[in-house]
Order: sequence, then structure tokens, then C-alpha cells
Amino acid sequence: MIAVYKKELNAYFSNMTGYIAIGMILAMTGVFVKILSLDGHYPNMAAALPTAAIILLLAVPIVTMRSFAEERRQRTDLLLYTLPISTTQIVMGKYLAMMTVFAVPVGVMGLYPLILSLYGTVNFAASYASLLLFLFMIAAMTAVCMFTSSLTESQVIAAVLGSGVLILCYFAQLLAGALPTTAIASLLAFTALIALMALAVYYFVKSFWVAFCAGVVLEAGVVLSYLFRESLFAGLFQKAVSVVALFDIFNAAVNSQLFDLTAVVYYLSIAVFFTFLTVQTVEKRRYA
Amino acid sequence: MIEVRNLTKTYGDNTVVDHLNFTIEPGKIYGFLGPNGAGKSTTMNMITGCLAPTEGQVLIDGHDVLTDAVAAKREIGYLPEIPPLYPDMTPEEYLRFVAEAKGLRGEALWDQVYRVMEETDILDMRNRLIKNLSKGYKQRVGIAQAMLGEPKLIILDEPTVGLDPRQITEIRELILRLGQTRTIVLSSHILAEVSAVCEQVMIINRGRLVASDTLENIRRDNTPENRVEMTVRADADAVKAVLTGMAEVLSFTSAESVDEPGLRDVSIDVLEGADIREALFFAFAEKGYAVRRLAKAELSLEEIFLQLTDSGYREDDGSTYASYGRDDEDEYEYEEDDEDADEEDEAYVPLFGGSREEDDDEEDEE
Repeated sequence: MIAVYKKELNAYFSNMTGYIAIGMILAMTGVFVKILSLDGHYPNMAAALPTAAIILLLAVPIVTMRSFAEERRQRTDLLLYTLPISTTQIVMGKYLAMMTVFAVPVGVMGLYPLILSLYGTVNFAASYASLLLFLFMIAAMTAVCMFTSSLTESQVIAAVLGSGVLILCYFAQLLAGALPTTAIASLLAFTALIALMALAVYYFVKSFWVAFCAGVVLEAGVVLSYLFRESLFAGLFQKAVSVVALFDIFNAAVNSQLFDLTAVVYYLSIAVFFTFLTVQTVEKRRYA
Repeated sequence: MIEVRNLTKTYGDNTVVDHLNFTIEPGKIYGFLGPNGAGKSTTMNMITGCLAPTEGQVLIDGHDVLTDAVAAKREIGYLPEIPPLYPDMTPEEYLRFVAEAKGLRGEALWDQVYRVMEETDILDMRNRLIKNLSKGYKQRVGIAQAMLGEPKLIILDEPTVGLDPRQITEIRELILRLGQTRTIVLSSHILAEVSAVCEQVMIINRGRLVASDTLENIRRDNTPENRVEMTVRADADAVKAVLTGMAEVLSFTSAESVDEPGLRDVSIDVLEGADIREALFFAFAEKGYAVRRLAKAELSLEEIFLQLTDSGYREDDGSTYASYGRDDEDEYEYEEDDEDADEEDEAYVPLFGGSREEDDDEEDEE
């Protein structure tokens, strides 16, 4: 794992990728901290983060896009398969290298509260808690985008896919608000979702019957619970959609100035889940 | 060393590797020979654990390559068909990464990295970016990578493909040198390469093992003992008239010779144990037909290779290698030791330069 980690980290800093991503994040946060805190005399630099976070829609896919797509395109994945290291170690090595890249700008941002403290009283706890949560949010996004990279051979497709998913997450709360709240609408939305999941299952296991049965079982469960507890379904899909509102959860935590442990757990679960999925897709290529 | 049991790989309805069974003993250079699309790369990918078999098992020194992967992979160095190199690294950086991933550290790591660079003769290139290296040097870096970690077994998939003649010779010399201390399996569709380098040869065709032995034994086993070949100045009817009168002749084929008009090449299968060479001479001479050549049949390695791998070709228009310069073949056949004779009506498989079925399928998965 350490070998993969070192190799990846070297790769990010031997070409432009690492510097571009770090520069983008620092420039964006720098500008907003300047406007809000230096010009606006607001002591908590973290208030700038929710606005500046939009840059992650670009910066995260830029870093993650090459992680697996490029290995496949160059056929170097065969080397990784033959090395005496497990797939989990490979994925973790790459993931940690990407997180190290992102830790650099967050580390630099750690200086901001110190700078601000020269001009007034700064709530260090709130600032650093927000920065830490910012890093956890990036961790979740990185895992999602690493997963999209493992799905394709093309860096461009990986980046577009990753960006697309993140944009969807960015507007999740807004979109959820626009959805009808009736129970039947929720039922239909879940049905569509189950159909999509069945397609995904088909893509992974390449068996029509497994996908079909999984879809039917899930749909039956949803329909049954709808018949028994219709009231439960009112507005349920909105709640489900807001689960993917990665950014809104961060914003809420920053605005409340509390260290939100549930948010940490939430981001970590997403990171673990998508890292696991990445291991599975990489492993699955062997069984193609 | 390697035990391959019942190895099978299917893509949909297409069986690329079909119940392969063989073992590889330590200390020899093995050649894995077969036409393009025969399943060589697929088999090698399965042996090295890059690809999971549909059925069957591969044991490396007793370790299953899928379930006991880490232990099994320590024993193998693998150079896939396309060398798995990172173009933005230098050979030194690249080899350091591979060595580290193979568990080497500190001084031992650098010792080995430098030793393999020396053995593969890439020391001068160690600080250039891999993307700027020539194909021959890239191949060497690939081989150096496979040698790291001192694996007992090195597997090379078509190591000389796309190289110029000088590079090919150099790579072959390198392989021979490596073979003195390690077990080597290399695949190739070039017969000359295998006969120049390998002690043991496995010939694979359409995913099946059709021969596995030393080249000498393969040649001996596949040369029909009771066949006589001759060149005679006579037409087809005359040859037929003479030969049908001889009791020892079981069957024969004749074709006009390419060397000179008026001559015919005749291949005659005779009763077991019978030596009718002298009788043949007199039979033809008596009728006034000059015998230009008369000998027991000896097949070249190419002919044996084609014979072992030509199933599925006969219904073709004759534009294949099997016709070997004969324009008008009467009934040129090798029934006696053709294991795949029952498969004649199966799909056409290109021999040389055809499309690579297994590769196409791998890409279809995406």
C-alpha cells in the first residue's frame, strides 16, 4: 500500500494535476475569506467555505479522474493485478494519496484563523472544526469520484461522471424541494429508482435474472409498505434525496458553528461505501 | 511449479480456453506456441491471476492464484503483451515502485533494482522518461520489472513482438541468460523464436493443448513413419496407374511440383513396417518415369505446427499455409494424428494476422 501511495503522490506532483487542484481550492477560499473576513470584518473564516466549496465540483474530479481510468487505458492495471498486494491495498493507497493532495490546501487554510486572530478575537474551535468537516466532505466526494474513475477507461468520462454526480448532490436540497410530496409520487419515484438499481445490478453481475429478481423483490417491498402505510410515503422521496445533499449538510454544520458528529459519520460512511464499491469494480474486472 | 487444472475461460458462448491441463517443472524455458487468437494471452493472464477462470484452477507452488493470491504472486514475474509501464516515470523510479510493491526495502531494494537494470542493460537509460524510450528498451524495462523480487518463475507474453531483428536477438539472448537460473514461460506465435529459445514447447490451438513436449519429440511424434515422399516425372494418371498396382500402398496424394513443370510431388502412405522405397523406384523406372527424389517423409517444424493448429481451415479456399506451394492438391490430408479432426465444421479461426478473438471479447465487456 505504501508503494502505491508513494507512486501516486509522486505522480500528482510530477505533473500539473496536484498543483492545479491545490491552486484552485486555495484561490477560491482565499478570495472569499478576503471578502467575508478581511473586508467584512467577520472573525470566523469558515463562513466563506460553503460558498467556496463550489470549486470542489471541479477540483475533486480533476484529482480523481486519472486514478483508475488511466491505469486501464495504459494497461498498467495488469501490473497492479500481478503485484503481491491486494486490491484493497491498491485502492487505499490511491485514495490516501488523493486525500494527501487535498490535505495540502486545507492545511494552508489552517493558517487563516491565525492570521485573522491578529486583528481580533477568533473562535478557533469553530474555525478548525469547520475546516476538519470540510476535509471530511472532500473525503466523501473523493471516494465517489474515485468510483466513477474505476468505471471507465477514459479520464474525461470519469471526470464528467464525477462532476455530474457532485453537481446533482450540490443541488439535491433544491431539487428535493421542487418534487411533489404526495405519497403516490414518492412511490413512482422509488419505482424509477429501483429500475435504475436493477440496471446497475445487471451491469455488475451480467445476469438478467439476478437483476430482474432483485428489482422485483425491492419493488414488491416498496409496494407492500405503500399499501400498508400510505401515510409514510408522503414526502419520503424528498427525505431520501436530501440524504445525498453533501454540501447542504456541511453548510448547516458551519452555520450552526457546532461540530456536527453525525455529519462526520455521514461523510465517513459515504467514503467507506464508495471505496468498497471501487474495490469491487476493480476486482470485478478480473472476472470479466 | 505451476499446475494448471482444467482451466477454462468462456465469454458468452465463445470458449477461448478449453479445459487446459499441464504442469510446468522448475528450471526450464517453456514456449507457449499458438496462432493469434489461440488463447495464449488469456491463459497467461489466468496463470498470473489477472483474470479469473470460468472453471478450473491454477496452483503456483501449491498456492491457488486467486484464493492465496499474495503468496502465489510472490513466485511470479509477469510481462504482459503490452508492457505495463508508466510513461511519466523513469525506469529507475518505475522499478523502485515495483520493487517496493513486491516488499523490498532499503539496501536490498536498490541492490536488486540495479542488478536487474544491469542484467537487462538499461542502466544508461535509467533517468530518461519511459515515454521517450524506444520500443526495445521499453520491453527491457518490462522484463526488468518481472525479474524484481527474485521470482522463481518469469512469464513473458510475446516478448519480441514489434521489435526489429537486432532487438529480437538481444531479447532472446537475455531470455536465454535468464533461463539459466530461473523457470521461464514465454508465449509466441513465431516458431523460429520458440525453437531458438525453448526446451519445452506447448502448442495451443483454439484454447486446447495440442502438443506438449520437447521440440525434437514433437517433431518425431508428428512425423508419420510410414510415409514416403517422392518427386517423379510423370502425370497424375501415370502415378495413379503405378501406385494402385502396389499392394503395400494404402493411400497417396500427388500434386504438380512447383520447382519444375512436368514433375509431380507424391506423398504415399504405406503399410506399417513396409519399406517400399526400392520397389517404388523400380516400379516407376520400369515404366520410364524418372524418379528425381525419394525419401521417408520428414515434416518441418512449420508443417507440424500448421498440422497441429490447422483445424477449421480445410473448408477454406486454400489460401492458407496448409497448401504449402502445391497448386493442385488432390487429397492432402493428415488424418492420423489430428486431434481436432472432429471439429472441422466449427467456426473459422484465422491463423496468422487474423483478428484476435479473445482480445476483442475482453473489450466487449466494457
